[in-house]
Amino acid sequence: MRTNPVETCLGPLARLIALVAGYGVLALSLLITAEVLLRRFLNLSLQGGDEFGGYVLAMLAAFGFAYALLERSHTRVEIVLERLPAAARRCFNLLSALSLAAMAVFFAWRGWTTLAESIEYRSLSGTPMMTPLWQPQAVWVAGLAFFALVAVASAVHATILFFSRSPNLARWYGIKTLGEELHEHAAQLGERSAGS
Amino acid sequence: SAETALRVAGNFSQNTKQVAIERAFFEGLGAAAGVPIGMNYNPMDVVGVKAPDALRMLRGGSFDVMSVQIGMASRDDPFFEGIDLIGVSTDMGALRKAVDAYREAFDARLQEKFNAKVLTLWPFGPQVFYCNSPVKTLDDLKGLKVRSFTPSMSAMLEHFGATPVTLQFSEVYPALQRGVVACGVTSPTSGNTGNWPEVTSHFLPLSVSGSVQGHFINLDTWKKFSPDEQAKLAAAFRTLEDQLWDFAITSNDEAVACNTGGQSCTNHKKFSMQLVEIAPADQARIKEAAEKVVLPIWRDTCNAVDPKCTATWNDTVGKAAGLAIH
Amino acid sequence: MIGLLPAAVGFLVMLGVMLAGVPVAVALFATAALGALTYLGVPSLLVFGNQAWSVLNDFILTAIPLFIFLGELLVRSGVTDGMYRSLTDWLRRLPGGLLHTNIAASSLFAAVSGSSVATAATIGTVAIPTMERYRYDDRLTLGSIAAGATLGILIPPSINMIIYGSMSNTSIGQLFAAGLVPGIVLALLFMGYILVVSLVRPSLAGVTPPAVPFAERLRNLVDILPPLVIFVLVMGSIYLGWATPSESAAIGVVGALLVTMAKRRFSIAMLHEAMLSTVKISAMILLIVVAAQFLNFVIGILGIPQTLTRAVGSIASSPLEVVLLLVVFYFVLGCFLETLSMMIATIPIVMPIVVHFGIDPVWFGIFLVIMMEVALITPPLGMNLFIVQGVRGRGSIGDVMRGAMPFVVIMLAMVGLLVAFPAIALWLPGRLFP
Ligand code: NA
Ligand code: NA
Repeated sequence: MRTNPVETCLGPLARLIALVAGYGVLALSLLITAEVLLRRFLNLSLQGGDEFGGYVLAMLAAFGFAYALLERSHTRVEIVLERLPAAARRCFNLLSALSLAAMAVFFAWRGWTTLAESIEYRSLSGTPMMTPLWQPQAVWVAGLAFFALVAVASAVHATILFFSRSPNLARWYGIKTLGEELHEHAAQLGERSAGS
Repeated sequence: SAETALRVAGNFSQNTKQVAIERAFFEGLGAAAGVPIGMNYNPMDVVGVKAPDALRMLRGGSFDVMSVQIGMASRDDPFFEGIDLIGVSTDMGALRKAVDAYREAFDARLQEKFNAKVLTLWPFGPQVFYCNSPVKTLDDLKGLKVRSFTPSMSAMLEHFGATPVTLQFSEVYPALQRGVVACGVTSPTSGNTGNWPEVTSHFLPLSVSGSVQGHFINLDTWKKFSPDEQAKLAAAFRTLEDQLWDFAITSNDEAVACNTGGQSCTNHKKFSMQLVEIAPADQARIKEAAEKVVLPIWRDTCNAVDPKCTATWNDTVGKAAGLAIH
Repeated sequence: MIGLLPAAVGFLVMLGVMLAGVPVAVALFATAALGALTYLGVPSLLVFGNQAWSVLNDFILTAIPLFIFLGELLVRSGVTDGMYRSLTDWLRRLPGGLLHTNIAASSLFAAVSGSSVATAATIGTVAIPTMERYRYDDRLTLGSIAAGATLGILIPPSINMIIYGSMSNTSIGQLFAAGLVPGIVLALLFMGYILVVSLVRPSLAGVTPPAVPFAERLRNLVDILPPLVIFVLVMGSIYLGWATPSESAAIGVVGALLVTMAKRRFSIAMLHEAMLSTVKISAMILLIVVAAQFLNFVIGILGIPQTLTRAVGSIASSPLEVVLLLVVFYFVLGCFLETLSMMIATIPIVMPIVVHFGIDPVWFGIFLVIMMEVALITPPLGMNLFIVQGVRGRGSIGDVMRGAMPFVVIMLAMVGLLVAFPAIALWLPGRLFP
């Protein structure tokens, strides 16, 4: 079985930055737990745990959008689609890929102008840490730009598959079937049992 | 019609009283000022607008008029925060002098940087301490966890030996109740409507700021009105400003009575917090802390954006308050 | 301000675009963009970047990835098998046997998981093979798993409650406290139904699993400890005032990490798998949240909530009538839409109505979550039905649907109880946050 070329090219990078976001979540958990314990027992506050948490969330979203896209995890409603004839389904799968790309490009563009404003004003976070806002926003925009890149590449690829009447359009840009999702879940549980 | 309606983002809907005043004002503005305008008024949280984004939204023109929380909006320009720095104006009279002194410079900068014009500047009211442990003087804050929301406030709290803790506003009530923090700072009315006296015991009417708000209008919108209409609108907004100042003063006096179970309580919920007598020395120490820790922090952040900050402030607010940045 | 007709057209457009299989986030965003361009002009569209940053840069929502991470770690630590086995030891003699285990195991797992779908996948994987081995009735088995797993969003923690709390400015600590008693009551109602059916038709329950010596049963109780310990850590840290609800999620994650280490399941590979899964699911939810908040912004300026509140006000005159109207609304919508998307898309229009009629927002949050539970098991689109059928991997999904039907009736009865006795939801938060 051939794999999706977009996935082959961009998948490893998407996975890597998703992992970076994952470590962000881990770091946040440890930081907040430390904050709670220090506050409770030493009457000490690290301050800014909530601010850091906000940045981690923004980064996780931006870094995760592309990964979720390649994993075909962005929620779509299949209830009508699965009852349509194959030709109509192809059109809607293409529409889905194109519209997601359009939105992703818009997000990246507006994200960039938001960052540009923060640089122009030299905005600081309105919190005791006084973080220059461009720093977390630059990371965020980088994630949004990567999301736009992956979404556009997918849309171009889907268009090619559409006009070449390839069956891979449904396989790579259709809605992930429940079977596929459970297969992944079972694989996780299997790996878990194998470890025991 | 829909095109000519003025699009207004009001204050936060939790500030029920101020929002009621605003809403009535805007809905009657056309008739009162004799200017033919439609109105589309919504409190900012109802339309999902976050307070720190206000200046950017005004500049971009997504709203014509916005009720702006100046402390939050100063994220994009620390100059605006200079109107009401922590510890500088410790009562409403002093605050009004400071605001009037700063108004012109404030408006000029708003027009130049954010394409918007000042219509009103007014306070929520004195920002005072609600504590859930016995606090009699500033010295008792030592070792307590106090909710802080700005850099200068953290600096002041640390100056008095307290531990500043950052929390979202919606988490303050449960945090006070469960003792995550010992004190929270807000106005007597806001604390009363937010039911803080349910979870705190000691009320310190020691004001650290006035939480100044403003109504700003997008400059393009403003210029669409004729000079005659502009004059009428400006006059109308002046009455709104006076009304909000009066409200801040009377309602907060009344809310203090309600929080502490006083006789003159009529318009707020009645609670029975212990009212702490503030020693004059403590008032003075707040001002001293402002000069020692708050002003230098602001000087450094503001001068980094515009080196004229210190001079402008000393000439205006500084003169009015009898303080100077060195 | 626009009228009821354009608002209805907008809603139908959104529904149509969703049903065309376009990603839900895109459907929400496209509807918002269309509304902005038609009525408000370009500046309102361009403000999107700042809006998106403000929505994402929100500490309260960090609880979402943290609770997902917590669940992912626990599933990979292998606590579920042991938990299921130990619960079976104690419940096997009840009429209905393992069917009760399904409900109890779901409730217990719900106490650490914020999602019903994750609960269904996890409990289903453990329960279905066991149930087949002991020859339980298919429909009753499948129904009990699909319905039991819906408790994942009612028993705290709950991702739906976090999103509801953040969108409606309701205390998440209070929502969590409010969900606990209704969660337990609903679980007991499920078990009551199973008990009655098993007494009337004993053939539906299968063979009773072999007895386990008392001493061993006691020893195996250790296996239900991990989820309980983490539940106590999370809820206890909120209750004792050590932490806010978002902070409690972080403490739960550290607890789950310690559990995986104690069970000797911790490895870097496992950690990475849990992280990737967390990032994927969180990003999927957050994309919808960002798009929905933008829609909220546009429809708010357009005055649609006020228009709708007035319209509802002309049909309904009391809070009870509003609630009944919303039961029908969410029941119908829940047949066709994924629950989280539906909740996020409707809160901005429903909340002003709720506030206008003076309905308690904490109570309403619990009502809403129970309606989402109903939606999870009503055909044609019910995520829990699909998951249970997928795990089962044979026969027709019709079995799952028919098996879940009685549980839908029980859930609606639960809504009735909640209306008649609001204290079911409000008593505990009233005690904890007096
Ligand atoms: Na749960
Ligand atoms: Na459904």
